[in-house]
Amino acid sequence: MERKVPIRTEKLRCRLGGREILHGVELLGRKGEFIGLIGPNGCGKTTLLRTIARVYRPSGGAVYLDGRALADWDTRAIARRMAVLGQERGASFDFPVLEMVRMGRYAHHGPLRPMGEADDRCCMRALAQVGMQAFARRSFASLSGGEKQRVLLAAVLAQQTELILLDEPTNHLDIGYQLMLLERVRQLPDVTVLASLHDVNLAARYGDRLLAMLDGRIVADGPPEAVLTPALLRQLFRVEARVERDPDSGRPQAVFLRHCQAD
Amino acid sequence: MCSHWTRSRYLLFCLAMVLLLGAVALLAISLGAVDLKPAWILQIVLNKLAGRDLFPPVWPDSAVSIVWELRMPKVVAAVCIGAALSVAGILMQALTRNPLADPYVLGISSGASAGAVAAMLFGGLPLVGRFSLQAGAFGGALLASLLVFLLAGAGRADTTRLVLTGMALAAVFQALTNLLIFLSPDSRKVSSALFWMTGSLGGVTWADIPLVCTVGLTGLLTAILASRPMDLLLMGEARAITLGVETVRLRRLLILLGSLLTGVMVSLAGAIGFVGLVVPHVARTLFGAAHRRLLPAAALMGGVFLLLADMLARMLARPEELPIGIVTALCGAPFFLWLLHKSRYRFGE
Repeated sequence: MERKVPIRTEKLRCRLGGREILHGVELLGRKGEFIGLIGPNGCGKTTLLRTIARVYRPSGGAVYLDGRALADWDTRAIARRMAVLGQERGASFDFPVLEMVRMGRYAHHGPLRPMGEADDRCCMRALAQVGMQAFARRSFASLSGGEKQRVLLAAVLAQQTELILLDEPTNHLDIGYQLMLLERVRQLPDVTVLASLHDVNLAARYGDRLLAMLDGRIVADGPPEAVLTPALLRQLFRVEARVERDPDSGRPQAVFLRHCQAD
Repeated sequence: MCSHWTRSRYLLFCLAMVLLLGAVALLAISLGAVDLKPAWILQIVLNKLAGRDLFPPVWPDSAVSIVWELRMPKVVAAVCIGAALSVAGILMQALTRNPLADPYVLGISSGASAGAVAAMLFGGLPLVGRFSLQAGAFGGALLASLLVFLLAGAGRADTTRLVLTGMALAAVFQALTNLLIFLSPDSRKVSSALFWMTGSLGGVTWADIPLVCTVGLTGLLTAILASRPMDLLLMGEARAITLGVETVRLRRLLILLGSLLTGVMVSLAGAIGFVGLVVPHVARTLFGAAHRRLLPAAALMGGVFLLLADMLARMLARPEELPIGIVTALCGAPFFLWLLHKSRYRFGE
């Protein structure tokens, strides 16, 4: 393959609080791919995303953005390549909604260059994409959890990056907005998306590829029909499940039967 | 609640604050042991600024020295210090993402006092020459800032831990200050201790003004230039990084700038408390949390606030002059308690 690989990790390790959370994660995201990251609570999904986002420093291995080691990048240049929707909502602050979205434009402007009309158009378009344009002048703190999440997604869209990391983006959202959010992100042309998702069926429905994580390692990597199997679901979540093929999308979907003890 | 002031309305407010500042300054100069006519004051000041007699001097000669030599430098200093402490408060609040952070509450002012007293006692520091008092105060403030943020954990400091750490540090530095004063050959030990702990504009002369003005203005301008990344820092460390902010560098800048402003102001007037707490809060309720608008407005409001406090300090116990820190603490401390009581306080709400 000639093209540069948007995102790749090599034997990525990360220690937090003296405990190793990631034990050499190998991951590769191709251009335009939607990758669903699944795995049980505490398996290291968030840590992996945060290490890729350079919030945590790896204790070993490396992350490569466009084929160049992340450590060699300037912070603002990274933010022009990679946008992140994390799980933190922020507590002790309040900004107007439009201002929250404008923050996504910082990477393109830096501290001094003023934002222009083009930026405002971009931000309003991003708000429209998540159905929040009517809220532009409202206070962020006054929004519901789901509305906040959509505004934060708009900030990610306004950042206009080729790589998007989503950490449990569907939390706080009802099913309608869950589908809306994932569809919006999926529709972005040529954008590589790495999304951790609790809901394996959503991951299988939208992912071009699934990565299954367990105890800080990738244990399965492939197209949804290869990854989403009863055996893997038992290994990851200790559940009995039946996997069916959805006739509309052709994607595998799991029906969960019962919890089972670890073998 | 979230305010959406248009640009012109904001500028109008700032202009109004400048006019108010002028009016309060005039009033502040006219009040004192000897009351003077405001018209005289304006004419004396304009004569001095023009360097010649624009207005024929119809006032007694003593009026000139009272206005220009005694009261005017204090008024300028009050404005500078009020503005600088408000800006320092905003910097600390962005750094800790906590609206209760303030140089005085966090013990940084006390650190500056200790540094200043130490510099005074142990003589001039090399290199900094005649600025050794200010350099000592800056060093003390910087040490206190580093300690409070290391101990309480900048960026993820919960209020209880931050405030308690600040309280303990303030106690340590105040004890150090007092220890140094009482070991020193100073003949007015009690009043010196009171000066460093509560602050006073009593000893200000024109010679002090250039430095505090320069530092105050530089601090304000630098903070305004950093206002956008400061907004992002309020979103939390992780989000700020992924939005493109060099958070480590920004934190360093905020600590340095906050310590410089606090240190230099404390070296001139002692530890005047709570300005950096009250003023940013009021400014935020008017303009929201975005720093680009918050900083200039808060600086102006801080100037007015300290001028008013100075006036009160001189009126309450006429002809005695109260240390100005008593007045700011009397307004600020209850305000602090009220903020602490409001459990779910948010920036700009």
